[in-house]
Amino acid sequence: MPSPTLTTSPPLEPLLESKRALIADGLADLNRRARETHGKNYSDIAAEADRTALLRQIEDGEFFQTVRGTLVVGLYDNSELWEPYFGYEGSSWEQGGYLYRGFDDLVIDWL
Amino acid sequence: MATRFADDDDSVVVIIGSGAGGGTLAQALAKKGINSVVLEAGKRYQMNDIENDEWEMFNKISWLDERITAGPRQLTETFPGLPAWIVKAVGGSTIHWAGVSLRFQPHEFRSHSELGDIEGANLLDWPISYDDLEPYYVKAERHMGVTGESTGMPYHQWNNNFKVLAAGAELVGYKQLRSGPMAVNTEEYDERGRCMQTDFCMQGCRFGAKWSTMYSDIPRAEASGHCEVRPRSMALKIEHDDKGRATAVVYVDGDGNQHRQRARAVCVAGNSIESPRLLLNSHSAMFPDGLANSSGQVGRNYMTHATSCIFGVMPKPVHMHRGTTFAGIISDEARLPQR
Repeated sequence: MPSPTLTTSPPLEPLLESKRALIADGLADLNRRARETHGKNYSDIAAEADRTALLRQIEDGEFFQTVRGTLVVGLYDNSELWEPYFGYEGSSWEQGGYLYRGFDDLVIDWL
Repeated sequence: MATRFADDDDSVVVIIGSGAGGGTLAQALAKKGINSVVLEAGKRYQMNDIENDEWEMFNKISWLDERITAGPRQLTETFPGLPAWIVKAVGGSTIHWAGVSLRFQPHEFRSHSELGDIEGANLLDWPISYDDLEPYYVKAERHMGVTGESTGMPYHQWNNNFKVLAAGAELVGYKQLRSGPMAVNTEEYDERGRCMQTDFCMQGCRFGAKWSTMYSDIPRAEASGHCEVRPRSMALKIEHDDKGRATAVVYVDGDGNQHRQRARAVCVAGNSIESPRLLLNSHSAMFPDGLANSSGQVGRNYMTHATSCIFGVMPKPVHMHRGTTFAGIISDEARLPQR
């Protein structure tokens, strides 16, 4: 997977401005849970399953839901990620849509 | 020079809303030489305002005024501030739609007879049958340019997205696979071009191949000299005379100034939330429960446009964005429950 260098700001940056306390308290709470269970900060936990288990504990809370919502929109609304990560070719009307550019070019031999 | 009618001109029909109902009516009246004033709460957009970008279009054309929700959990918890995704713009929700133009099936006119009482529902048969409505389906399909028998336009070629769905559907035994009927031209029709299979066209067709009053009925009605569209004009109250007949509409313009447009008749075409809201807000001494509400049912029985989405990861690239959003229909399950 290519790793594009983003020129736009990460989607979470505005959150740090608008909801600084919520984010700071949420991160502190997550690290406290990590240290209780694993004796280290959240980002130092190696196994994804362990990290996911911690996130499950807080998934219904405001902190997690706020970050999640912002990331989902920010991720898919970031045009720099469209082509390399999602295969989305972007706005197409400028090129006359896909009528002559493969809207029905799929040959399904894999179902 | 655009047509202007005076606020005290009581010879005009006032139409509230410029979408499927209001925009169509304005053009139908204009053809008969009847003058109308269309009050549209939203702004007016041009073709070059239409982008293939879902989020940009959402922020541009959606009705984002604060609304409260009540009722089922799925609605109140998932979309507390956005109970209905409708459009606030000249053209209304005919800008944002997939173009899928299905008819009711005959049994759907007899829901209560077929299904009986359903707890919590307020189910009735329609007072008309499929046969009564059939000629009007044909008329509407010709007006909108719906692919299929009424217009003679072929259904769309299957795009990649539908090819995958159809292949899976056939594997589980479904038979009724169609790429229409859709109000999206597959050839030039009604002076509008054919579908170019762009991406994210649900939020507006840049080429005008999908029917929308935004670029069909409304500009034609205006060009006739019999219609004036007032964007950013939010209807507040319908007034009536001592016989109970509508005589005027009070509305507020984009600068916050109130006006009263007199009318020979008033058509309410403001979609599922704003129409009943306006009728209820138009209560008076003669109609304490709101206008057109002798039944007490105005503002009740709201039925949301229910959708559910399933996404799947395929073994190889599909390019699902290439082409119309709703590329096909599998209708084997659109039938009465088996008894």
